[in-house]
Amino acid sequence: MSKHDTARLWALAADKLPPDEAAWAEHHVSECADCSDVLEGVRSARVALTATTRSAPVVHWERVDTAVSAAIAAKALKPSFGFKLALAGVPALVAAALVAAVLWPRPPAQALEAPQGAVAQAPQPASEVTGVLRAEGLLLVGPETSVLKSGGALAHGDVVRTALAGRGFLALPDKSVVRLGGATQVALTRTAADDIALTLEQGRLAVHAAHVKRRGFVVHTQGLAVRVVGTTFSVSTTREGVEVAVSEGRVLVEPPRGETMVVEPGQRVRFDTQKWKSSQGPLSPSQQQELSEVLAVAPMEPAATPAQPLAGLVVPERAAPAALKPLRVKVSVPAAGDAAATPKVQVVAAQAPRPVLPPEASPALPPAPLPAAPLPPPPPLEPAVAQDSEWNALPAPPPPVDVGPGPMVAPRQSAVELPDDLELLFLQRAQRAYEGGQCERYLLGLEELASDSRPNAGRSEQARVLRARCFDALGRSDKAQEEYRRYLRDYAAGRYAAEAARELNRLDFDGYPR
Amino acid sequence: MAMLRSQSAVSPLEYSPPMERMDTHTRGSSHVSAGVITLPRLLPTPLPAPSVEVKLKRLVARIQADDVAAFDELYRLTRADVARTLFHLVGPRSDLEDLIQDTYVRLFKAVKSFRGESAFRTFLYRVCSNVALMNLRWWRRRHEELVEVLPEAADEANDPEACAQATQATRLVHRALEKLTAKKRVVFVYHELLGMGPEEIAEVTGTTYNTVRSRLHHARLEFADAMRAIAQVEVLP
Repeated sequence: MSKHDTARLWALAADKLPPDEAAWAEHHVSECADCSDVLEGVRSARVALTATTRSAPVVHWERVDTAVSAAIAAKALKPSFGFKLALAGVPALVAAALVAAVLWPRPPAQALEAPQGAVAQAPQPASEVTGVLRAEGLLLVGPETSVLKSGGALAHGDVVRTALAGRGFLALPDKSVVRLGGATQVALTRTAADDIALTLEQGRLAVHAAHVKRRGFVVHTQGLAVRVVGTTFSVSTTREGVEVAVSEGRVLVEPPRGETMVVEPGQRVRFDTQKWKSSQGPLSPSQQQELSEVLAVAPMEPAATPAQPLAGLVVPERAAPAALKPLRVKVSVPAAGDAAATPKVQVVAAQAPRPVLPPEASPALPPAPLPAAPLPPPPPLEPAVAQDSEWNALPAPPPPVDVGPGPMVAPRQSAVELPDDLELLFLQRAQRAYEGGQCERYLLGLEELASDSRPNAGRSEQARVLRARCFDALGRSDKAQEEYRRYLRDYAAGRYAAEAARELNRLDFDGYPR
Repeated sequence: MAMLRSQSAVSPLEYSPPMERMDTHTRGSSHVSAGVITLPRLLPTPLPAPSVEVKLKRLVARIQADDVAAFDELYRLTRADVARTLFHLVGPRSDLEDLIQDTYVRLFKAVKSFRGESAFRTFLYRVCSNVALMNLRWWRRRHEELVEVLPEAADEANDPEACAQATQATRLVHRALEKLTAKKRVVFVYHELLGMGPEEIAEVTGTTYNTVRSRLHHARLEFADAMRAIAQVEVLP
């Protein structure tokens, strides 16, 4: 068949021929058996193609988003070849500049007149500087968006944003820690040592608010105000609404319409900002992980100061934290005129708050100790904090640097120095939780660390074996076996290979955990 | 009509519009003989919504100024399109997500050199076709059969019956596309499944309009034959 015939038949089947051509072609096809067969085949193909045009593959976008974002962030932070070339020429440029400075004729010294209309900007006090503890795909948004790095500093009014799979940990002037999730934008509306206000413009953040006296700590998002009283909580915002989850302490949520709500530990409340309805539920695994991470980064607090109620607010007394009892929260919203719009109030049993381990706590199962070297022993605890022995003390921040009356705009300085090895901290806490029989909430973080293929001084290897032990301790022998097998596959000659082989043998033979 | 047949000896489907049933005729300033048949002009690509293209180009300008956040936004705007394009270009593959990632990594590197002379979508489709061609050649070298289960195609209409039919049709189409060479497959998919015009396909593939037409012609023949063969196999017990 010639090119002309094929093209016309396909155009005819797609109804793309002009009317007179189409009429002629139809007439011919009715008289030609060969062309009729071909046209029928083409029409069937067109039907299939039209149906295929509407279909799309099912893609696990979370995985792809993470992979793409990580790859792009790595490429963005890596200096380009052109930059490297330019960098190579910097010493020559510096030398040339020095020579020019020495040889260039200078004008006679004259008294400089103060520029008219210039306003002296007071340098940012060190007590209002927010430190960047850790930056992964973290950007400072502004006329010239720049990439933030760990150890940097931010001032009030700054807006920060994370990439799709980015993460950021910020240390606020009041020693609180904020964790930013991926694709999150936050404005540091007010960041004073005794007054914090953040505006969550998109995405999610988790906060560990220090137990200090302050005038206020509030997170604004989509019209809601989330006020904190020494807590660990997270706030996330989407088009559909806002979600607040609390791990420790409590938060007060003030919707623009309706009564203030109290959200207790272990609770997650979602607000539909279209209809202003709320619903409750337990913390999701991802929220537990976020809150674990922000807790892991939070500095050790000195003798706990009782949380001061905010002026003008009456905070109801709470029962002993060890008691586990259901909570009932009533929310009233304006009637939408539709009975179906009446919000449901669910009774949700609060999860047990984070246990406080006495120093002499003995685990139910004797743990196999990790062999020498990888995890250094934790620093000795100060007597004032013995009641909370789970947390390690982090080095005290250096005293604030006195900028002095130097330049009109003080250069930003890093206010807090923290160790970079957050994975080590996390592993230490996971190990302790495992020894205390409470390692379940560390499983997700351990998987993330174990799956990290970058060189990290054996942290991934340790995370994998700790995960296996944790599953074993929880009685999930099938998952423990899986983890040990993965360990042997990835670290056949690793330092825990003998343990993995032994435990696999035992679990395979017994079929039951010990 | 007999004179025409004896002169040209072409197949019966040759069409002569009434005004052209002459031995010679004049079209414009040139003479066209009766042996030359005007081919139906392939339709050009429909113009994209101007606001979308403008937005994409603005994002590209920001990316070229090292605004990484702009690339995130570009990714969100185009990822569904890229996924669907690659899905049809390479077929059902377990590494489709890897190909999507590869496409955006290449795009990130290549966008610096985008000068705005063509539509951004054309530029994006060129990256997709390069990734697809490499992948198709990789699979073909290994002579691996398509044994994977087709991932369920998401149908936006949420109609179960239509969804099942679309899934079945997609499976047949992809099996037929496997019979085409890589270059023909790219041209065929871009024209028949993605509705691109020949000029744009030529720009995407770095070829000419006539080359695109030629490949499309052969691709259509082979595709139709493959569909017929598959349909017969499906029917036979």
